[in-house]
Amino acid sequence: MRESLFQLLAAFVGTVSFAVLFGTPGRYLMPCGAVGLLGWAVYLAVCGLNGTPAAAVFVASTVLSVCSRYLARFYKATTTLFLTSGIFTLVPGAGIYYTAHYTIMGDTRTALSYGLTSFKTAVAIGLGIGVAYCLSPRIFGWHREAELWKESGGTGQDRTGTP
Amino acid sequence: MSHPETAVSQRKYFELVTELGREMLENGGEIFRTGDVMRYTAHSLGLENFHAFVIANGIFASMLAEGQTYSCHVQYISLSPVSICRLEALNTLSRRIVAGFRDPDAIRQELERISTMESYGNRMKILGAGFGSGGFCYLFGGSLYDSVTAFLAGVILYLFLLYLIPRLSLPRIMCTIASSIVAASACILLHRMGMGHKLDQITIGAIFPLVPGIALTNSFRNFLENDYLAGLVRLADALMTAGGIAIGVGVAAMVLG
Repeated sequence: MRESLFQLLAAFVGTVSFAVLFGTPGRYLMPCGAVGLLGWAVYLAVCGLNGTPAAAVFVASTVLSVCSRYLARFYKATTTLFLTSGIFTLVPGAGIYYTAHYTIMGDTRTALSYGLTSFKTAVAIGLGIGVAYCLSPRIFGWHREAELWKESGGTGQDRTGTP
Repeated sequence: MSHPETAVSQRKYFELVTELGREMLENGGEIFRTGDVMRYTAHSLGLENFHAFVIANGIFASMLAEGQTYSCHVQYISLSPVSICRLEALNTLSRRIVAGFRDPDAIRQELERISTMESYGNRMKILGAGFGSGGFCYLFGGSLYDSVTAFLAGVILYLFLLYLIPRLSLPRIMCTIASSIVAASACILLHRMGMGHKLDQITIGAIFPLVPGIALTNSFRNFLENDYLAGLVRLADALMTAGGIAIGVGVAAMVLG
């Protein structure tokens, strides 16, 4: 229990630190940290329920993307702002490093296993974010298609740019 | 639409719109979002038949000038680190343009101001790198004591990145290798001085500010959005960076280990 609390604290600190490195403005730092903490908490919870790591990453990234979209509405900012640092705890940064490391060391078997895990993790995060983006903007209180244009009112143009 | 004055201002607006797109992409904006922003602003500035094709490291834009000839603008964009505060400012600017902010010179000034914007000084960034390294060292199974060591190594890495790298003018891959040599050497030396227990966890924490996790994830997001070109560019970039880090850490381990 104490161990998990420390882990969540580390996730929070890590996320806030990387938010600083990404130049996130100060007023968004705490929400970013909360998103990172939530993501890691969901990941730990699903892993604890005997989910595979990839499934856990998928669920966690879906939850934290939904949360980012809520926060984006709440703070009148973009979703990317919360998402970029929020997913940092889940991102297969160590995995891709170990893949390269073992490739160079000549341990092909371990390298392949790390490579495949990183691949699965990255796809799981991509899908999770994709699922969260598929939810109707109305759920989050937006009235228009693109979140960006909420203050000024959209131009009524669609994605493809045809008038 | 054929008055010479309108033609001049249209050309200015066209440049501004591509400039806006370039800034967004350069500071880590999503590809589809960049395209959207360019289209919306172009539409509200009255550019005719504006089309933009955005890939991970370039923008191709065209519009119909004076109702008869097509004007085209190609921008090359280098892959560079994310800056959320600039993205946020660019979003605000594009919203203002859509809401009726029209003065071309004022828009240009605003763009120039944004392109050098920073939200934190170097001291804050160094602290951020330290705490980030410490935090991730703990998440990867290090103890609190290991995290303290990773904190120090992260601080040393960022001191190197912020103060020495800009003076060396090395190619990007060499920068990655050099930085990871520094980070890994710091870990090994601190470990040898008796700080921390698990060298592996300390090292992974210390190099975490360099590791291309976000790049890899974004690459797969691009693949899932059917943008294979951007996905490939980012995937190749992530693999190169990871390889560079592994080489750097390997060199440090071989020399000092």
